[in-house]
Amino acid sequence: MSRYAGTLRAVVRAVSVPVTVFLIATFGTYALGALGGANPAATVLGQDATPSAIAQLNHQYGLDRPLLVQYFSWLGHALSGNLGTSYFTSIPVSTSLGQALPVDLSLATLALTFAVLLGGAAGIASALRRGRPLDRIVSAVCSALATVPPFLVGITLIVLFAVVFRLLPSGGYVPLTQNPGQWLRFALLPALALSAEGAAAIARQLRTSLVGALDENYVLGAAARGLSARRVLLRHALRNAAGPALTVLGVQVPAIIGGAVVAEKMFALPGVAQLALTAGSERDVPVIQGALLVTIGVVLVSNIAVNVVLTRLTPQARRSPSAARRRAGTARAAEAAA
Amino acid sequence: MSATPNNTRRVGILRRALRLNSARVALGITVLIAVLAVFGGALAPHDPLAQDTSAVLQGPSGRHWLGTDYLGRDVLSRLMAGSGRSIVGALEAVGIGLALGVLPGLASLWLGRVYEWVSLRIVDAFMTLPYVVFAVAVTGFFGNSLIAAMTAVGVLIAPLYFRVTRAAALGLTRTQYVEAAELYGASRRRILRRHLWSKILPTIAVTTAQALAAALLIVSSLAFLGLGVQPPLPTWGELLSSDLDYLSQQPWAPLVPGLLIMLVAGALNALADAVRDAGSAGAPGTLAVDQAAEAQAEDGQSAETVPAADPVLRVAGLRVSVHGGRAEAVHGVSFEVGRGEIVGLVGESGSGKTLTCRSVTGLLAPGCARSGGSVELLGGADTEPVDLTALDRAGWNAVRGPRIGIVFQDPASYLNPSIPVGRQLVEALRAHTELSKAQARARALELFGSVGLREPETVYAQYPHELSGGMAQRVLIAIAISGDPELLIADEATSALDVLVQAEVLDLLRSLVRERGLALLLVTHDLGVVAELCDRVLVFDAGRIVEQGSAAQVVGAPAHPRTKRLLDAALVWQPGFEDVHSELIGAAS
Repeated sequence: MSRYAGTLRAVVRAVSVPVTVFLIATFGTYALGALGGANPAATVLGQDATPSAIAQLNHQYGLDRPLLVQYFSWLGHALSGNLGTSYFTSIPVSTSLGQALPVDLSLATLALTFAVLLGGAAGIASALRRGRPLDRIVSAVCSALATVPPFLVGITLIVLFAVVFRLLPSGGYVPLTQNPGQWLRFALLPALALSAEGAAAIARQLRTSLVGALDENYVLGAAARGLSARRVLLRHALRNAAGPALTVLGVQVPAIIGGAVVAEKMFALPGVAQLALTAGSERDVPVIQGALLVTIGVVLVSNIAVNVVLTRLTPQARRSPSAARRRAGTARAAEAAA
Repeated sequence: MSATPNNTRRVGILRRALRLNSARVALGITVLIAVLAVFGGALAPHDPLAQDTSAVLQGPSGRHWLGTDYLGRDVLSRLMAGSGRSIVGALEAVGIGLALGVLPGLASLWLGRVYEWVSLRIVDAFMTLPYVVFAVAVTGFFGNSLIAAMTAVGVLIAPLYFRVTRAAALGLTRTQYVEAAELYGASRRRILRRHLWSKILPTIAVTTAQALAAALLIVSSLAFLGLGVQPPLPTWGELLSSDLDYLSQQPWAPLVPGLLIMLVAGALNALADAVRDAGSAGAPGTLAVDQAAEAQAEDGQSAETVPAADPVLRVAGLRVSVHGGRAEAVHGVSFEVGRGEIVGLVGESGSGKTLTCRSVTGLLAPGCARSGGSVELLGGADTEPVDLTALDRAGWNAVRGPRIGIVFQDPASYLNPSIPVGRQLVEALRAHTELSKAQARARALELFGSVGLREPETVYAQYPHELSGGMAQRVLIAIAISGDPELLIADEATSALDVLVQAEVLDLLRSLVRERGLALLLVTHDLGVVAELCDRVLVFDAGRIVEQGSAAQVVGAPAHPRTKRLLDAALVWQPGFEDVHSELIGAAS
C-alpha cells in the first residue's frame, strides 16, 4: 500500500542525509587527528627515537600512506569492528569501547527517560495552567537550569543525597546486567544530573508548542464535537505539539553525551568519556578516534530514530514540503532557543 | 499605543530593551563582570597563588572573606583573578564561532544549491559532535592548551551562527520589501547593505549573548575536566573542580564560583531575551470586538423576539462581556430558532454575531464570557430541555455532537492535520455512541456518502491537507451531523469557498435541514447567502439585533439604516452587476 511506500520513502530520506553527515564528520575528525602530529612514535619510542625507528613505526601503523587512503582503510576496518589498537596499552580499541559503551548507553537512556518524563510533565502542566503561578515557577526553574553549569547540578545532587542524607553512593558503577538494583543506585544521581538540561529544554518547547496547539482551530473543532477535554489534549493537541519537543530531544542527545563526560568524571563511571579523557591526556589517537566514531554514530542513530518517529507522528509533513519546511523552521527556532 | 515606523523602531531596540528593569540589572552585572575580568587580578586582596599551609580549608573570616582552599590560598582572590581567564576563554570561542558561521550562513542562500547542500551537511556533521567530547579529542590531538580547547568549542559554535543567520536572512528574502527592492532593480549588494544587516544584526546580538552564556558554561565544564587550564593559575571551573575533592569537608565551597557562573550566564540570557523581545514587539492591533464594544448603538432598543414555530433554541437577553469583563460586546440579544428553520445572523465583522453564536456552543475565547441572559435547548419528543448556561465540562460534552453540531469557516483548519479525516469522524461517533470500530467505520462511510463525497473510501484515509476546501467542509458537516443533532450552527461556513462550491455546500445544508428536520443557525456577512437560503434574518449591529424578519422582507425592504448599508456594500462589492439588488430580492422571494 501507499502507506508503506510512504514510510519506506521517509526511512530512505531519513537515512541518506545521515550517511553523508557521518562521512563528513568522521573524515573531519580523522583528518584532525592525522594533522595533530600525535603519532605512536612520539608516544611509544619517547624522546630519543632515531628517525629510522620512527619511520619504521609509522610504516607499521600505515601512517606514511596518503590521508584519504588511511581514512578509508580505517573506516573499512572500523565498520567491520576493528578500530585498531591503543598506542599505549596495545589493547584493541574495540575491546575498551565494548566495555565502556554499555555504561553510557544505559546511563543516557535513563537520563533521556528522566528528561522526557520530567520535562514532559512540566511542559504539559504549565501549558494547561498558562499565566498561573505553576507556569511561572516552571518557567523560572527552566531558565535557572539553563544557566547552571552541568557539573554544578551533579555537585548539588552529591552534596544532597550522598553527603547530607547519605542515601545514594557519590560514585562508582555496577553493570546493569550484573545487578540491576545496584546499577540503579549508582546510575540514579548521574542520570538525574544529566537529564536536568534536557528536561528544561523539553519543558520549554513543549509548553510553547502546546500553548500554540491549544489555540489552533482543530482543538476548538475537536471540542465542538463533544470530545472530552482529556481526549482533546492527549490525542489532538499533544500529538501535534510533540513534534517540536521531539526535535529538541534529538538536539539534546549530543548535549547529554557531552554532559556524560562531566558526569563520568564526577561520579567515577568507567564510560567512553573517561576512556577518551585518559586517551586525550596521553594523546592516544586511535582510542580518541574510536570514541569520536562511537559518539557520532550514537548521535546519528538517535537523530534517525527521532525523524522516523516524527514522520509517523505528523504524517502531513511526510508529503507536503511546505509542512516539512515549517517543521524544520520550528526545529531551528527550538535549537536557537536551546 | 501608536504604531512606530519601521526604521525608527530598529534604532530604538536597544533603548527599548533597557526600559525593562531586568535588562538594566543584567547589563549592570555584565559590566561589573567585564570590570572584574580586566582588573580582577589587580583588585584581589591577596596573591591568588600564595599558599599558607597553616590555614588550609578555612571557612569565611574577616581576613579570608570566602575562606581558603586546600593549599591555604585565598578563595576570593582566586575567584577574582580567575575571572579574566574564564571570560577570555568564552569570548575566544564565541569569536571563532561568529567568524566561521555568519558569512558561510549568508552565502548558503546566494551561492547556489550545491554549496547550500554541502554547507548544510557540514553543519549537520558539526552538530553531531558534543562540545565537551570534541574539545577532549582536539586537546588530545593537538596538546592540552586553552587555545586548542576554545578553538574546538568555537568551531562547534559556528553552526549556531550559520543557522541563525541563514534563518534570519531566509525570512527576510521572503518579505515583500526585499522582493520589491529587487523588482525596482536595486542591486544585491545594496539590498544587503540597506535591509539585511539591520535585520540580521539584532539576531546576531541575541545569539552572541546566548552563545557567550553557553560558552562560559562549557569553558567551566572543560576546566573542571582539566582541559585548557594550567594548574596553579585559577579559573572558575578549576576552582569548582578542586572544591569537589574536598566536598566532604566543605560541602558549601562550590556554591560561590557556581553562583558566579550562574549569575553571569543568567545576566547574558536576560539581555538576549530583552533585546529579542524589544525587537519583536509591535503595536498590538485593535481588535474587532473593541470597536463593537465601544461603538455606541444608534438606537437603544433591540428588536422584539419573533417566536419560532416548534422552537429548538431560545436565546433571551444574552449579554457577552469581553476583555475579562471590562467591556460588553453583545448587549441583550433575543431570538429563537425552530425545527426545520434556517435563521441567518448577518452583520459586519465585530457586530457580535459570532460571539452570540459561540455563546450558544459554550466555546467563547478566553477573556470573553456570558454576562447575562439565558440560552436554552428546548428539547422535543425524545430529548430533554437543557439550560446551556448551567453546563459543566461533562455536560457540554453530551451536548456538543448529539444536540448541537458546528461547522466553521476555513474547514480544513478545524480538522487535526495529523489524523486521517475518516478516523476523526469515527472518533466523534464513538465518543457519543456504543458503536464498535467496524460499525463506526461503516457509519462514517455512509455519512461521507450522504454529504455528497463521491469516494467515501478514499476520503476516509485522507489527511485534511489532501482535501479541497469544499471536500473539507463536507467532511466537517458529516462530523457535525454524526451525532444526529437538533441544531446545526454554521459559522461563516461558506465564506472561504469559491462561488460554485459555495452553492453546492448551501444546497447540502438546505437538504439536511429538510431531510433531518434540523434547525440551522447560519452566521454570515453575505446577504446573497441569506437571500438564497434563510427563512428568517437577524441583522446585528454593535452587539444588538437591529432588524429582523423574513429574508424577502429584510433584503427587499430594509427598514434599518445599517441593513441598507449592508445591502449597499453588497452592491459596491460587485461593480458591474447593476441588478444585484433586484437579483437578491428575486432569490429571496
